[in-house]
Amino acid sequence: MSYLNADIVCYSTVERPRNIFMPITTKLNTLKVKGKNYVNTQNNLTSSFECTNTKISIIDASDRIISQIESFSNLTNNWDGYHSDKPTPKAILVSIFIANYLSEKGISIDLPYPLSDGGIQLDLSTEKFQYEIEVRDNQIKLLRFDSRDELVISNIFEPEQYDILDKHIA
Amino acid sequence: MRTEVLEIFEHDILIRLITNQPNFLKADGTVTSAVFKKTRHDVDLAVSVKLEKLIEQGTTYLDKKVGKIKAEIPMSLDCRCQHTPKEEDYPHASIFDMTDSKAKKIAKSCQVFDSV
Repeated sequence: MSYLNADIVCYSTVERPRNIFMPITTKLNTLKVKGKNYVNTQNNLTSSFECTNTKISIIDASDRIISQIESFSNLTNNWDGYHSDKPTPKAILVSIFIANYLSEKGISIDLPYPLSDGGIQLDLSTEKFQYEIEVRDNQIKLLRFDSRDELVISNIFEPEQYDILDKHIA
Repeated sequence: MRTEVLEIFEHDILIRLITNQPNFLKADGTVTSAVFKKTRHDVDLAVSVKLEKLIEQGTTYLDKKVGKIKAEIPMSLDCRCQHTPKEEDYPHASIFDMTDSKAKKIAKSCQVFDSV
């Protein structure tokens, strides 16, 4: 996490953000810190922020996501009360590889979630599509949805092929 | 023990319990589709839910939130909804024929509460 102590120009429904977490999906018109704009053309933040009365902090998306994925190793079987399996070590590892790799390519995971069968789901969205990446021991499944939540493409990859995912994300 | 199987109507509310940790709530307040993806231990690979009309209002569940959907949502997506009572869980019901796309649509319409 890095701290930016500077004048902040921020226009939103939250007029003066303080003591709040603003995830990357937060809608804002403007967020300027030290003159740099942190809002894209879709009015989404380009990074997650934590705001207090005195400072605003950029939260490194990759670090945050990886910490969350790592925390899934603490889950036990039946973690959701529906007899689910705990995430497998391989699914955790491959998910971390994917989060790291996509982050290097400028693609951010919104949130990771454990799946009921020991896999992990990584949700992300671009200007055009929403994606779900399902990571399991034996495969990576990339699902692409359009704006009406219709599944338009489903690709299957070997876990070792995580480094070509970015070529399938538009 | 009650074993009578009730019919599920479109206006019935189905409940899916959602763990607080890990977090399944997105920033916009909706839940991720992962909540409605199948558990391989579930009966016939259906998604387990509960029939709200068989649960006392105000009921809470430890460390869980209550996700509510109208039965008409999965029904409109050609998912069969059936009351499947269990010995220890009479309100138990099942959503059959779930797919990734249906899970996403159902999750979008799921409203989350602290109690029934």
